[in-house]
This record gives sequence, structure tokens and C-alpha cells, in this order.
Amino acid sequence: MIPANLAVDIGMTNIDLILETEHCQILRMMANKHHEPLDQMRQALGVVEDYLQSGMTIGVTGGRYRALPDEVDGNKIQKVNEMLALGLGGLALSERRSGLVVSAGTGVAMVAAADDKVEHITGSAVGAP
Amino acid sequence: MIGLSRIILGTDNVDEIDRLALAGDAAVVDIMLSEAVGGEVGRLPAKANAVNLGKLDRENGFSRENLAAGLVRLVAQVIAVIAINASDAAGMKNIILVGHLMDLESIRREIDLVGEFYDREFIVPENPGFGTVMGVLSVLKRG
Repeated sequence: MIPANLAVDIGMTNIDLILETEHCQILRMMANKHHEPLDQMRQALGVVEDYLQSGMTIGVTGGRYRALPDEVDGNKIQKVNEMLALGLGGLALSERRSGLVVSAGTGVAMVAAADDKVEHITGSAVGAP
Repeated sequence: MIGLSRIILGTDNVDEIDRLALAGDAAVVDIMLSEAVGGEVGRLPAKANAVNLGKLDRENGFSRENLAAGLVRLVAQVIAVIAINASDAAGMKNIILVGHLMDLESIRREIDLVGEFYDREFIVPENPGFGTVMGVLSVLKRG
């Protein structure tokens, strides 16, 4: 099976990933066990290592993703703006074209999203998992 | 919420927090509008709370279930009320909630209650915890 896309979100408490192949979509959540972004990335990759191919591009956001190198263990890293990911993801999951998308996790962020445009509006330090 | 739960409930297990909150009654630990002013205030009914965890400074012996319910209500209400005001400020009708906090039934229940009070609908899609990573996938698929 050839992976088409691998997306990773490094949260403060959990790491989420979606592996999408031509046949299926695999969603995984795992407790974030590390402090350093590279270790967090390798933790995520370890969950789907059987599906990985050298040279594939992996999209990543969340936490200190910007500190990641451009390549990890032979895989190219595409860093995605976290607010953009939140807005686009919220619209995609809800099948809406616009809305205030609220990420309620360990921290809380709120963005206004309309089609491809995403703008950070506000947030709160009150949150959870 | 996890940090406060560790102090107040003695647990940082989110499933346990959720279970406790669902078994509890936040009205036992909150001061309700009916108690504070004797009835409704504006669009808020008498059954709405006036002060989160407001009874903790005057009573003792609260159960973990009721404390959990009050804690979850506090967190949910902060998020929901800010979201309503933010959506109005941004001119957005839809409020879409994602993130793993939305995996918890107790949180969803309290947020829905805020929506009922303010006549606003909160949209919680399937698999809400995967909202942000779904956006990463969307960017990847655009090439």
C-alpha cells in the first residue's frame, strides 16, 4: 500500500495524525511523550512506520513544529501554519464554507475561516486535553 | 482543565473527569441565578448559573462528581461565551468546535446548554479531535 499523504499535529498533550492512502484514511491519537519536536515527530512516525516510504512529504503543525528540520529520517517535512490548518480543518470536518473555528484543546484558539482565508481572532488559556 | 482537575479532583485522567462530571450536578457547587437573584436575568433562565464554583467558599464536603461537573461547566462556559462573542465580532454565523476537549460528552453537554441560553448553535463535527490535523491534510492535498 502506498501512502498518499501523512499529516501530523503535535499538540501539547496529544499528537494526532492522519495517514491517507488511496484506499483508506487512518486516524491516530497518541499521548505526547516528548518535549523536543524532533522526538515528537519520530514518535508519530513510529506509529505508521510500516506505511512510510523514503522521500515522501509529511505535513506537520502544532507545538514547536517550526523548530523541526526540513527533513526527518529521509522524509521531507512540510511545515503548515497552525491557524491555517485549524481553519481549513474545521471547515472540512464540518462541511461548511465559513465559520468561526474553535480549537478546544490544552489551549484554545479561535479563527475566522472562509474558504481559503483564515484569520486568528482570539483565544483563551483555559483548556483541556 | 487537567491542572485544575489534578488539584481539585486528584486526577488528570480525562476519561475519569468526564465520567465524574456526567455523574455530578454543577448546581450543587455553583451559585445559581435562582439563588443569587431569585429568578431569570435577561435571556438567562433561573436555572442558569450566576457564579462558577461559587459555593466552595461557604460550604464543605462536596462530592468529586459535583466538583467535576462544576469544573467542566466552568471550562465549557468560558469557551462557549468567548466563541459567541468572537463569532459576532468576526461576522461569522457558524461556530465550529474541534479539538480533543470536544471528545468529552460532559463538555459538549455544557456547551450545548450555553447555546440554548443564547439561542446559538454550536457545530461539533464527527472526530472533532482531528480538526487541525485534517487541515494539514488539506494543505498537503493541494500540493
